[in-house]
Amino acid sequence: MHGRPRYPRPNTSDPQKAQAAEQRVQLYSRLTTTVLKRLQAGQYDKEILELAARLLEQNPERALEKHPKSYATWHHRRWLVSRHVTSLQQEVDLVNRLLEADERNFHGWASKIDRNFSNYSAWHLKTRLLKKVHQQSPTVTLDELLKQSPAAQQRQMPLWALREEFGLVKQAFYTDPGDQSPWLYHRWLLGCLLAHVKAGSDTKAVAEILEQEMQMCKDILELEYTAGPEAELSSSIKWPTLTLAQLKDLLLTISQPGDSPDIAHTSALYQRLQDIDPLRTGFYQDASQGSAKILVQSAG
Amino acid sequence: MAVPKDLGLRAELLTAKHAAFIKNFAESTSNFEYFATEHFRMSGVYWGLTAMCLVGHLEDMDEDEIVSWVLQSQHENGGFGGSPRHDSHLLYTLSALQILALYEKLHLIDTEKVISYVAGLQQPDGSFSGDEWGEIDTRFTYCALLCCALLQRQEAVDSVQAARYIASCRNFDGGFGARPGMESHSGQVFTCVGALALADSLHLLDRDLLCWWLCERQTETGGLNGRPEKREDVCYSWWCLSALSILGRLHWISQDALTRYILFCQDEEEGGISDHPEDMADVFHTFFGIAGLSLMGYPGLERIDPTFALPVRVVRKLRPAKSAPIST
Repeated sequence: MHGRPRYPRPNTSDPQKAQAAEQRVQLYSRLTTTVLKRLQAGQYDKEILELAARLLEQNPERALEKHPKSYATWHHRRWLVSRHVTSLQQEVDLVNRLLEADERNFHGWASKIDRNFSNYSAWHLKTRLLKKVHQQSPTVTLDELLKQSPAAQQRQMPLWALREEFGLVKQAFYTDPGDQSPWLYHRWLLGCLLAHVKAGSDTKAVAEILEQEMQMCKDILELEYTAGPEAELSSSIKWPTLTLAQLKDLLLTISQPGDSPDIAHTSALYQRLQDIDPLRTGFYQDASQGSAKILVQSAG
Repeated sequence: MAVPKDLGLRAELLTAKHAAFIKNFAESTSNFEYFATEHFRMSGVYWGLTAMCLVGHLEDMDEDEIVSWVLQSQHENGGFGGSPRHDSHLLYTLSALQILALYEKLHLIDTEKVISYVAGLQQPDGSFSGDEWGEIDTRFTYCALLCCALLQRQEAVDSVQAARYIASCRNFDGGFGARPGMESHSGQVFTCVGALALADSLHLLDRDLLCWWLCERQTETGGLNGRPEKREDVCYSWWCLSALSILGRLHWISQDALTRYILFCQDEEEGGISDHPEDMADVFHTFFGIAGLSLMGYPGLERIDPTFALPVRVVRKLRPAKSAPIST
């Protein structure tokens, strides 16, 4: 049970505690019975609201502060806002306070628009916002997207925007290469780049970006390896290594006969990954055989 | 907390202890927790009973009393509440049907009434609200589609639109959130994958990408987390594993490491399994830990179906012989 320690075991023999527990049960049981009976009888008066509030531990705001991840409570708040029982400004203030307490509360993010991008929730929000900003065909339907119709193909992020995003995420890598969130975001950017390849865009420009990203991964790896033997098995090695393998796979996809891109040793990279990250050996084995296609233009 | 090499008394699944834990929980009807959990007791009963079934102790429970209580929880509108005093909701309607399926008592209910309740909650965009108060969540799509599958009335809802709505909740990482735009979460991933499987629409997701995101939920403890940078928790042994199982990529995690994590979360004295090794056990995590072990083929457990979240034996009895199996 979340937040309830196993040890020390609860003391069930203390008579005072037992009595207090019994009284709490009686009170809760009486309150519940009263409230539910009145609801069933259709008695919606001030008194029942007060009783229900006691049941909810005083007021809805307190309820959220005690249980910030309750789906039902969040839904109830949205209902209150829609009926102007509480103001939108009050709502925004509450959400800000809750997000300060827990940045990863996706209920809060769903309620909020913000610019503090420092974690996975924020990178996720970025992918939604970027799509909206760069959508060239706002009238593309879900049907068209699912069928990969020509209309849907227009929904690509322009190369200049992608370059900006690669620049931003590089800063995150150099701050902490072991932080997985920006690497997952980076995979999405590569998927967006793939869309340009499929659309027959400037292959040379795409290849240039890929070479640049490969160099970045190699630079990061060099830095990390010089940090010492402990680094060998850490996530700060894993992510640039996996990304390097993905980049090589992608370069292979766009290479022309006569090109000699540095695409050798992908299988060696996946073997290395099995050593660094043995939990995911099954995935890396499939990936090295080409049966784990994660470089896709994810239809998110 | 790292899992020690020597698990001692926890090295094996303590099925007798867990069965006793669940039975004791079911019979503790005068403590505060009993009252405080009344509004979702139907789900608690489903978790407990299915766990008992997987470990071969279903007959320890009082079938007649439970079935009678479940039937008393159905309301005028056809839906079931968390208990007889609580309002209908899709979550508890599903749990009720799952309990009745375990006991092969689905024939006792008025199928049309339940189906009409479920179908009535579908919105024009294909989504489902949980009840008349309008909360929308992809979990409810799974509940609705599974209710229909259990009663073999799949045509009663628009599963094409339902699948489209699920697809609109896909994110950049291949995962799914509660509503369009919401962050991927393993629980939502399970319900969305389950819903797409039921709607015969698994082609609407990026299989490899999603399964990679799922296998990245495994932390160095061997346990699985719900989303990046969060702590592992035994319940994700179900949410992630069932999705991986449906999509045929169970081998992308270390089953050995996960098994050891689940076993380490057992309470060898009081019985039950907890979310983390240092926490108190509860029925919810006991069920999901056992269910995860079952999916991985742990010896001595009945096999659980990853889409229906019921024993395979029970699911086989539901479907007419001519229909194809849903889960791989």
